[in-house]
Amino acid sequence: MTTPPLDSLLRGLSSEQSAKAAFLVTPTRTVTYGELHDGIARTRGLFRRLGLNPGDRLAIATQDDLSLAQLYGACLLSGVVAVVLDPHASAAEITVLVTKGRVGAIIADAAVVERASAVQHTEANVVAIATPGPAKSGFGLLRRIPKPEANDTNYPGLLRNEEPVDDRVEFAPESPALILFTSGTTSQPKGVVLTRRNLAAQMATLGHHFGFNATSRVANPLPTHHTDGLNQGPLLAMTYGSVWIRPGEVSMQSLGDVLDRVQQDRATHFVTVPTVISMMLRLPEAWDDAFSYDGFEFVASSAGYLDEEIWRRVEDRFDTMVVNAYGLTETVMDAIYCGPTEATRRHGTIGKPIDCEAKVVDDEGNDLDVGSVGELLIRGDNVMSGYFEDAEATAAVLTDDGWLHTGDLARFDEDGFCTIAGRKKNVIIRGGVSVYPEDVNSALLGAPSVTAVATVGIPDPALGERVVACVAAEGDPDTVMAAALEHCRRELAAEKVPNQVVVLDALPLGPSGKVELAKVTQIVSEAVAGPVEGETIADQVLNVAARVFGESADQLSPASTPDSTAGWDSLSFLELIMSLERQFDMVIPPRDVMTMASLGDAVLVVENR
Amino acid sequence: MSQIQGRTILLGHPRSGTTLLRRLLGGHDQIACPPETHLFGACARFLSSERTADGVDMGVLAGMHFAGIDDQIVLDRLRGLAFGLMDQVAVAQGASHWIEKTAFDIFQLDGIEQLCGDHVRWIGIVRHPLDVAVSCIDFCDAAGMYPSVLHRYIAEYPHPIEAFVRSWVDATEALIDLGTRRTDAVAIARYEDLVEDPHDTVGALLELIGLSSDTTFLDSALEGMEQLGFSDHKSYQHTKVHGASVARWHSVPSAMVARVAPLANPLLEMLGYDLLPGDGSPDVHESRTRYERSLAIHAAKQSD
Repeated sequence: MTTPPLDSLLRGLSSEQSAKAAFLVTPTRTVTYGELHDGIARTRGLFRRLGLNPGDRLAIATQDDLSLAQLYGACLLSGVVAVVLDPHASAAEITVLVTKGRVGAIIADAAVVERASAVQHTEANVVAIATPGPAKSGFGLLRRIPKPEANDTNYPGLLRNEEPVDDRVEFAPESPALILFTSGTTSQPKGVVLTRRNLAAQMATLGHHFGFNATSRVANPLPTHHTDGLNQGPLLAMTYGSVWIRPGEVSMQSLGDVLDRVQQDRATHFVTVPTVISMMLRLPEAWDDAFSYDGFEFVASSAGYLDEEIWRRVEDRFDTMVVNAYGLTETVMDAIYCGPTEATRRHGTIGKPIDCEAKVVDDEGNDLDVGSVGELLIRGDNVMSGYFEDAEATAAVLTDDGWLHTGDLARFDEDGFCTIAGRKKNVIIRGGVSVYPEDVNSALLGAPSVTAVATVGIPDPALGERVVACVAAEGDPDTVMAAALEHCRRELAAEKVPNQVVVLDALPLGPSGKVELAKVTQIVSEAVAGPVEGETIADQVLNVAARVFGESADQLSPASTPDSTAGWDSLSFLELIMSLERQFDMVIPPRDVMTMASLGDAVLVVENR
Repeated sequence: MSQIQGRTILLGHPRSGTTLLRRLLGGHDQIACPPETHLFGACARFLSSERTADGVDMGVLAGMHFAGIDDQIVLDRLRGLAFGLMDQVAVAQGASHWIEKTAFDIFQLDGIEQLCGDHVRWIGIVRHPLDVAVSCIDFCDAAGMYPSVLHRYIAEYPHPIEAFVRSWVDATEALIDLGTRRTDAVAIARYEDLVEDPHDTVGALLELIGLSSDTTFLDSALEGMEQLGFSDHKSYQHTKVHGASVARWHSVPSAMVARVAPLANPLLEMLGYDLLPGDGSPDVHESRTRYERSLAIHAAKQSD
């Protein structure tokens, strides 16, 4: 299949697109294509004023969906390369990535600009994004935050004074369009460079394989600094003139509301990750018919391993199809698809490659036969051009004839279905997010009294894997652990902070003096498995919570809530539920899960079992 | 998923903009927001009880408990009745959500919360207490009566402004307490914010009750004429949201403002309003000047 030019694919940004049609639907607002077009045209005017030319790079870090879409759309139409960063990244990460990316300008949330003070002193133009909207106080009071003035300081307020730019230019397919960093801290950030051809190939595949078109309404709550949130969000909508639905942030307690919004907004597709699919099984029965309405087509699962049993149970219970897709940021998003028709899927597999080639090879690079396990390689128009200004890293994964080493081990069956069999590269995938052990190690080496670190992934039924760091340090283990986690929360984006830190006197070393990761994994597995001690149920609940949240038990109490507990987020909450079920050999009913707002609630649930 | 996906109780002191907000939210095609049904206030009265001097509870729950019916069963049945009726209203309108607002429900919040608890979302609206007081005086003049829930304030405090500020304090404290207990299920809007930017405020409230919205429906939300609810006499005069009723209280004598300032200021601070001037003691000089000025005006009118 010949990949069409990206410019010809962006139908949602063409003059033929109905201005009144909805582009973005959130719980609080609907944005039309007319508004999007105007915002993009004025943003392109801003680019001109900032001196951004085709090929220049713009760093974008924002939680505001509309600002993100306008900036990304303006980049695509102006030939500016979007460098999309995590708005929750630490100051150190933002500074390193902005420097590494050698960006010409930075447009980021005011909070990001403030947090990463070094950004303000870079030679690049810095524009802060101020996001308006009512905020709630502790007792539910809505207070209006003043909207940004139409001045030259805040995006998007300053757009009112910008001259719209509407011209259309066709750029070379091989020119870069997007850079996403797959790791990125003080260690070795790797910027995946995706060309216009890459993006076009991915969008074309989604169109003909999934059937996306102007009537599609795709609910996608994934973060927009990840490729699945970004490219299966605003880019997909801008390509087909479809609706991008943001049903709200997913957590265990909010998942029911999110699915209600998916139904109320009549989504045709729900894009999510395996961890959320696992959470869906914990919803009360009232949500069994969440997808039982005319027009809903399927749930798309991406960015992680989908357990076969969970996959089947979700399909049975919710009476819908889950399409499992496999890919990497290096392949834009997905390359191998299991579904969406019965003929194209087989449970437990990742399906078959679509519009690209895939094969497995041995350590010497020889092609392997059906049934043999080897490293999975992918080749096609969706494969990145390389890592940004990093020839060595690029050569390590891209062959001269265009094959990408995925780092995953896989096998093909006689019908052409591919099954993932393990992992060759050193990455931990927790809840659909890749965490590189080197990033965690690098950060932890700066923690007080830590002299050596090894970070490993421990299998977890809900998260896929848990991130556990093993540190060598002197001193009281509880104190070291607390200080190490506090250090990580300061130095790392929230999604990379380890679930747990295990403190040892020394790490196990092999004959050559290198850390023996297999032994570390064994030590860690023993340390994090098994029941915790405690005289009373409350003590045991607090000790389980301390292990899950990476806190010292004496810092927790029945009054502890997500607001007062640094490690309590949606993923760790799910882990707490599962750990309590194991500890007390019980099943916590969905209604209790949904209403659990403090550790005291958890104690009551266990006591009343 | 049931046919009805969201149930909400709307509360606020009378003359705080509850009717305006009810009509705006009712403009959404998925929300049934009928004029006042008095349903939940009646349920609260059903659940209310008195105690004898020796502490015997003379309410329905205690009575049924003696008859062998658990409190929870009574509450479930009563809730089933009330929700069933409101669900029927919503289904008849093709709506997936309902919002119930009846004037004075705020004074029966304990009973309503006992009944509805975490089965509903709660929307509160607050307005500057002196604007509320001024508007309440207008309303009572127009209606020719003081609603019974306000009798105790009127009976105890001879100055109507002070009486209504005191009832506002009680109602607002009850709302804040509700919001503190049920943070995730409560949103409290300020009337002044609502009239300044209805889209922002209504959009945030729709988020609470689980609806996404194109708030452009607000542009025509006030155009329809429906059955009038009690105390709705004024809001139906307008088809657009306006802020003309904000800060009417500046006509209140400064001595009265100073008198109520210590009552209202702690809550005004929590709600983000400017504090009222004065420490509770009337300014004797100002009072005398005002009195003399009114005598002079009266004399001038007589001479005309």
